Amino acid sequence: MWHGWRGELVRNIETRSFALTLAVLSVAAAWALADTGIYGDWVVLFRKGFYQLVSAHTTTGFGTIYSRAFVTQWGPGAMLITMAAMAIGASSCSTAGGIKGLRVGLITKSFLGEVRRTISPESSRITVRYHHIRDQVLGEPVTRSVLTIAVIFITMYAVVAAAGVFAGYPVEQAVFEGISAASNSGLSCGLLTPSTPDLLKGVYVLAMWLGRMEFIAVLALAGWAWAVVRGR
Amino acid sequence: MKLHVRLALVCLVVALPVIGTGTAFGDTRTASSTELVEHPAEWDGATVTFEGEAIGEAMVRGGDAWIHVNDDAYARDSIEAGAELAGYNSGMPVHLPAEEADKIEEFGSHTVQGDLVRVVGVFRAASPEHGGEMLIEGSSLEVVRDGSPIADPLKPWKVWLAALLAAACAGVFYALRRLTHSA
Repeated sequence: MWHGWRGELVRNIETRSFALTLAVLSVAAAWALADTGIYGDWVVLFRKGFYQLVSAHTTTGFGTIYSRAFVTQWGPGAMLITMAAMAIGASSCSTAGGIKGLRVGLITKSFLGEVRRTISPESSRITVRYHHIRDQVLGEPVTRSVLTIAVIFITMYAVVAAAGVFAGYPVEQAVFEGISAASNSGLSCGLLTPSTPDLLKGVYVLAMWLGRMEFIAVLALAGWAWAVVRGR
Repeated sequence: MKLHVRLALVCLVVALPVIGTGTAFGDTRTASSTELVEHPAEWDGATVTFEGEAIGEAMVRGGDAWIHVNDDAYARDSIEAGAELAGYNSGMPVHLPAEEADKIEEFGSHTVQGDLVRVVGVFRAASPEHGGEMLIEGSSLEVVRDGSPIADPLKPWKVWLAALLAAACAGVFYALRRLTHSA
């Protein structure tokens, strides 16, 4: 884009992935919010719903509703959609957190490629291509790396959410706050307060750090520290 | 008209405004922001009395104004004036006639304890007139206590800590330079 390649905006797998997930989640959020009946007007519903959803999806964390309103007004359906947006996150090479649109796009491409391989004759050769800056072939090393990070992210979301549940909070609130912390979103449903147990606060801090570093750097640091301890 | 009928009519005329006022006040319930946010559906449309510190500034739009009233643990006294740390800031936006907002002289900030105000108005969980905002449509405002400046003198330990950290930064910078040049 900076070099005037405007076509990149529609061809890049990351922008396509982000546009698709944002569109699908926006429609789902509008449906869930309409079902609650809190915003009688469609314009109001769109303004409130879309703003919160974009904030969650880009992990910017701005909100135009009270934190507790996610629980007391939006309800579990709209919360679940907001959680999905936070979990996916925005673009790689940005300050956003989450799994990232690029990885979601590549995982989807890989999955569709596998389906094609399954239904095609054994002798056929299926090549999956994607466009990110330039046209590329989706090979096994890239797929493995992308899936590894995605699985670690999902595992961390589950672990942090479980920590919230064990601390005595309702499941939907614990999952919401856990995903928000691990994806560095900044949105809250009001679970995290000064009176939250210190141990849970510590778990959130660790999740924020691991999510920000995307694990590999932290694992490399741990490996280096272990090597230093062993004297190798 | 007979005397007792006249008497009854006079009593009714005199009593009507009193009954009316009584009903209005009778319907007014004191609410906190926590209570309103936690149970918006139950309070939606109710006339409430809301008390807290006016903060920020009044945003006047035509004949109306937006103000924000915080009713948290620091609404009456700041930490510097002795309030205990007890949670984060919380409050409620209020949309009311500009002349009511004009009664506020001091708005709270990090250097000023704002006027303590009491607002009477209708709570809206998601006002369709104001883009779905949760707010109080205020009809009247009363200043309960005037605001005052907050005295926050510089603490010596903070100066020492800043000096220590600056010295540590300089030390790290010097060590990095030596390492870079020796490599």
